[in-house]
Amino acid sequence: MCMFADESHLIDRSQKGDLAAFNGLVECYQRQVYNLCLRLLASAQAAEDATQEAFIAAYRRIDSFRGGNFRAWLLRIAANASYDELRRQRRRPAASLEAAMAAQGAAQSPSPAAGPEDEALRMELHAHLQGGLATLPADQRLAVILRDVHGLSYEELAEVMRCSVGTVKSRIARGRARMREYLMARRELLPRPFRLMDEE
Amino acid sequence: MLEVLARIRHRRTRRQLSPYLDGMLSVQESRRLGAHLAQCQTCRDELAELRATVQTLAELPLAEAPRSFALTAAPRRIEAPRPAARRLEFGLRLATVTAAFVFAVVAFGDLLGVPGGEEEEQSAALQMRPLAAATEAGVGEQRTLEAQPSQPTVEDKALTVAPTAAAPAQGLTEGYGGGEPPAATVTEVVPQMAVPGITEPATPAATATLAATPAPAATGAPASAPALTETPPPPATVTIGPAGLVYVVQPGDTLTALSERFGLNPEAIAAANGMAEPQPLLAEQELVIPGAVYHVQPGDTLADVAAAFGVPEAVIVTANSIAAPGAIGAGQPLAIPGGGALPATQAPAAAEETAAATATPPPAGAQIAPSESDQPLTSEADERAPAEAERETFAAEDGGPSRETVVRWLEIGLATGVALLFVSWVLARRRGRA
Repeated sequence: MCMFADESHLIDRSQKGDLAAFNGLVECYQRQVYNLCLRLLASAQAAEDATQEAFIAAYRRIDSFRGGNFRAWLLRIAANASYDELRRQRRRPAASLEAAMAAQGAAQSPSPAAGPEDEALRMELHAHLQGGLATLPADQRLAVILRDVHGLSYEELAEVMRCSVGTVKSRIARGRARMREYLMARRELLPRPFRLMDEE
Repeated sequence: MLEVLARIRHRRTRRQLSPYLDGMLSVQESRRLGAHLAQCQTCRDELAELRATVQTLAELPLAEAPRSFALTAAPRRIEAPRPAARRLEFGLRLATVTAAFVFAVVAFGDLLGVPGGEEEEQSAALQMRPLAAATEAGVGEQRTLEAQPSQPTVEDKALTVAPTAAAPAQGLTEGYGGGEPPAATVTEVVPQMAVPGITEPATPAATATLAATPAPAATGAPASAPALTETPPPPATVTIGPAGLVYVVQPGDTLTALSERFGLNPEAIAAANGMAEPQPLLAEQELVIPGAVYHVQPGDTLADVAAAFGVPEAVIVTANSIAAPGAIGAGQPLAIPGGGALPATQAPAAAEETAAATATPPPAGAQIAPSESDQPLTSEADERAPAEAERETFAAEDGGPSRETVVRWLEIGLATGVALLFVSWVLARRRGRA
């Protein structure tokens, strides 16, 4: 994460054509951008392509950023790059969801503290979450990912999606409701929190 | 009834569960929701499930970036368009500047009373003398048109003289026998051609007169040019100006007397000066005298010239203040009142002989069109004359920008401003939408 003052300085210099300064911003945000693309695309390879595209587009349009929330501005570009990537994928023979999930799983480093069983459970949960997100309409999916995975505020979301906070509220609510239904339908496959709920 | 109310409340509550988790409800909404949750097990369950969902999603770890996405080379930048407001402001400023510029041009021209630099130069050097005869007399005065082509601009003066000289010279060329003039002598003609009309007026006082006397307003434009020098008593002769023959009226002159003196009829003089009918003359008034200018060729006698133009010898003597009939020299410009274009057959006989015998500088016409000396040069003079007369008309109109000119320029300025405003507005809107 960049310090705020540092960030605005880097943006300033990037707007004057300083590639090194822009790459500083890339370093700050590439993890968030990549993860957003990964959740939206469910494919490590596609997410990588979309992330690179997003940063290229961001550099080309850096002049059109006029203050405000740089993260929101950048994530909007990343979301658009992901949608472009999705459209491109639809034209190409689609990679199977399982292959995508396998790639995603492989990309995640196993946590050293967890045993092999926990690890397997965790991966299964992630797969279900990804599957659930895939069932959401695009705007609800983006809202849920940015709110619950990335932890953006409602205001930031409104900036990313260029809509009112009220719209953000309803998109998040509908997206979460769908996710809840999706996960509850598979509650026996899910770990603790859902089982506990069952026991209540 | 209560059930319906409860169902409505239940539906509203379900919508509020998600923002409730994020603390995005108002105090009042939270209180109402809390009250509902206290009595509705379904909603409590749903809230718990929702909370679990959100927790699960939040536990989804952020993957490490598989590589650095730093750019190795700078991609081409997309120029950010100006924001709408700045664009509109720019358009407005441009419109204002344009309008101001147009207004300044109009005002400047109006104050100076000159439409452009060309005429300005002219007024400083020599008083512009629009040729009234050509424009006013029109087609009816064919003779005048041919004889008095004129030019308002300085740089065209050589040309101004050329046609007038060319006309009489034409006859000489014809008399010469239609052969090619010797190339070597052509250059010698040049000073003879160009100089006299401007620098060697028929009378010594001519230059001063030209500079000092106001231009006669051919088309009714006011003669507003101030006298540049003190006006000396004008000689009672015809002066040769760039615009043709001019006579400054002396006290006691009448149109009839002048007509007799120059062998013309009063109507011709009146027409040449834009008078609908013969009017009383004013002292110092400049009169355009229809006629031609002839440059004396070696061997020419006054009688030859008079005969060639079909004008009484006495008239030429009077018009040019010639002391003795024999006192005319080669190259001297002669004012020929009433003299038209010299017909080819009326060339002074002496010129033919001299030209043939001594191979002296060929006639001026040869200089204008050396390779086509056998072609009638009068046609060239003819062609030029109407064109110049036309230009003359414009120049006279432009003597000070007319009301129409000012209005037209203002209209152009306004239209440009409005168009620019509209364009900038459209651009601003498109930018705003995009």
